[in-house]
Amino acid sequence: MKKHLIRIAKKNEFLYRIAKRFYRAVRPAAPTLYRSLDYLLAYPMKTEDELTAILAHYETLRRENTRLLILWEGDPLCLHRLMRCHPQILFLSMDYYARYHQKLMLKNMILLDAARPAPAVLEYI
Amino acid sequence: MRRILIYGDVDLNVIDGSSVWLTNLAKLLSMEEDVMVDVLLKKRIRRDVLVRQLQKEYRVRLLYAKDYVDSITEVDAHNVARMIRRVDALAEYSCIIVRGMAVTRKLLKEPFVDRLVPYLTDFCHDEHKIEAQEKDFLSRLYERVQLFLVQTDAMKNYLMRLLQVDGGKFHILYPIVFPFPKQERLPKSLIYAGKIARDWKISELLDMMEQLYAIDPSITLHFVGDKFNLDMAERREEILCRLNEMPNVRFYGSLSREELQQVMSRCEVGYAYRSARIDHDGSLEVSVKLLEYCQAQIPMVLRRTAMHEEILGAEYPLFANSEQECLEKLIDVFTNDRAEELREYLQKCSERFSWAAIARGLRTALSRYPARKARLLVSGHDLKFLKPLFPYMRQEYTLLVQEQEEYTDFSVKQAKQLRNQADIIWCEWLLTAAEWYSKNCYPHQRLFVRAHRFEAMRRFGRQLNVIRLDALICVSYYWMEEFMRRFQLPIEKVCVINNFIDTEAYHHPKAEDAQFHLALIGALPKRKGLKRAIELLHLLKQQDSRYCLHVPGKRPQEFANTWNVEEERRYYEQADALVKEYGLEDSVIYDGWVDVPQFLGQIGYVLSLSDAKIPESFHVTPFEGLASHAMALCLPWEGIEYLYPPRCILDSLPAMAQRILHYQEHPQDYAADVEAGHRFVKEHYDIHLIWQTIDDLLKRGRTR
Repeated sequence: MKKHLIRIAKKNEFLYRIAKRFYRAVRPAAPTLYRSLDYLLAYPMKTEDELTAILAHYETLRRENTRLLILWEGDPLCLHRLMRCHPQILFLSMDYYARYHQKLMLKNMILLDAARPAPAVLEYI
Repeated sequence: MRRILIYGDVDLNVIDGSSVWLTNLAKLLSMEEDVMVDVLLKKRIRRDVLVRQLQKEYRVRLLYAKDYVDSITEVDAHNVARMIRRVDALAEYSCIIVRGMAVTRKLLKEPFVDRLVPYLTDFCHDEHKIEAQEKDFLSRLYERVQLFLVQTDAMKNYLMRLLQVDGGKFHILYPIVFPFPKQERLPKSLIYAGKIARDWKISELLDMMEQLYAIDPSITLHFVGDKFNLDMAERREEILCRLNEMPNVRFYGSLSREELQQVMSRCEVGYAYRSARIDHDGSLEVSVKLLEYCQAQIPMVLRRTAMHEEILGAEYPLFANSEQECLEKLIDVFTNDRAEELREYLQKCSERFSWAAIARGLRTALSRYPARKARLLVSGHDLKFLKPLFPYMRQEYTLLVQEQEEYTDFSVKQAKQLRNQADIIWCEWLLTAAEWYSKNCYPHQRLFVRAHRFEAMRRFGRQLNVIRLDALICVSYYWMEEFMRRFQLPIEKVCVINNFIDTEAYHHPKAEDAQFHLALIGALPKRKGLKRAIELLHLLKQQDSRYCLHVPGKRPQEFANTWNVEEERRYYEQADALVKEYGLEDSVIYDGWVDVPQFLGQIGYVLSLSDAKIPESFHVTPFEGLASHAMALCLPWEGIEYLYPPRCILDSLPAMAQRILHYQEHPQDYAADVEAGHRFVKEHYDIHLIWQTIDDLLKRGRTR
């Protein structure tokens, strides 16, 4: 019966709109929530010189579902310039978490070291 | 900019040649700097294996019909014209690429037919059997369009013969295959990736694997794909059972393009043998799989046809015309290790099918359609931090502005009109406009919101539709963290672009006594620290009576939002009392409205004495001071370490007074610090630099 009514209503746009408005008044649509299942491959970095090695390391691991995150441990004043020059990279300042006593709330983060081989767990993400 | 719409009558939830073609075409077109691609979906995406990569491309958008016409949930031949009309009216496409005979038929009489670019493969490929009606349709279509895409030379020649035309409108668009990663090959590995259909000889392939197991158990088939054609539906259980249980078969099921490339590039030999019904000398189409194997340098067994000979050469050794011959070729290639010698040969064969060559050809072909400026809509209630960029914006974009008196005055009626004309929407401040546009903008539009500071204390951030948001732009890192934390915004949706300083506007000569003139530009509200500035002046006056403090801008009495707040009014009354108490009536100068660049000509120090706990987001005026060759002196409010050089930050008022007196005695130190500060502003916050960053973001997004 319900399917039959929907079929009739869909043939007439005006009828469909009224029917939908009535239906949504009774049963509001659940909001679609944003979700990203990407993994953040995080590398600590103290100086800009380390970036080349990090990018090369990340290039060997990158997948559709990964993003590069730099945990910046150097001078906070350099951070904005780094963010401007590398818009494709995500940056977080470690100084911020220490200075303002905040917690790092990121999920799906895998901490890596550019000087070491990638851990085997990356095979399964 | 060229905005291109692609509609293929294919379901992108299912992986097959047509859906791969469509996603690869979208990816290829979006590689052009000035091209924006919209893919009109036939059906809503429920399985993102194929489109996962596209969803992250800034220049590609997937359009779901229901977001445009509420009563349409699936695009088909009956509603395609209406659907494209609707989207085209909003997005003003340069051209519209359509695949599929049934849908193209419905578009022949549409007003946008001159911008229609058909790509058809599903017409009768036999000129003796083709119906007059179909031939007539193809003829009329060729007449009306400017460009007609065909898959192969053979197809072009066929259509030229059939329609008796010179073929000037035809452009050959080979199936697009992107390069494969170079990886070490698994020894004795055979790959099949594709659908499970009768004509694709899958059952026969599994039979061959059984026979191969008896000869050499180490030969392994890597099988990718799980789409069953109707003709194999009855045998679904049996085939799946064999795929899962045969010892020399590794069954992957369905994989994303990237995962498939990973698997494929590790295999040695490919299987592309199909029935004579599909692969015959009269074939006008080329198999995508064949080109993929060529790109991945995987020698494949396949049927000998005119088309395959044309691509691989008549002397290619792995042609087979029966299952038995196919088996023999496989045994030969594995036992005699012949795969390696064929790889280079395949690379040469596939050069003309490289994505770069295809992209070059397509770019030239599409250049006949007009380009236009992208339409940028700016919406917000106080555009003082953006208006100096308008001349830059007008050069690159068609600028539309929706400016409100107050953020509460947001007009939904006006917003609906402007939304329908925009490609990119920029909401200045994370307030009403940002909330409305995030909930009401279309999927083909890009949405950027710039947040400063006070929005963090408002509710609008919680009501933002993050799905539609491209980026929330913060002016400093500290506030990026605050907005992320307060509104649970994901890190990939936020970025930092600093405020800008038009450094060239501050080249005014300095007054000789400038170093005795301090300025607190903008002393409202109380968190700006007027009382602290008076204290500082008091400390300096004890050493030298020539110091004075300028306070330009509105007085609190002129600003109802401040004066009507009890706490604020009391603060400014106390500040006045303090001036009297210290006898500074002649040294504190309320300048009223000033032309800041000119005013800074008489100033030696610009102060930033704001409260530590409810800090500034950026505090532009001390940077303006640095740009004018004055010194900026700041108390350490939260987040300042990301913005100001350490020489500008002092722990306390006495330290600040001491520094000013030090400069008085050592003018060379003052000159050096001022010069360093000026250089810093030019290198980090100059208007040209910041505009370039913004422009890059609007054109390229945050590409990975």
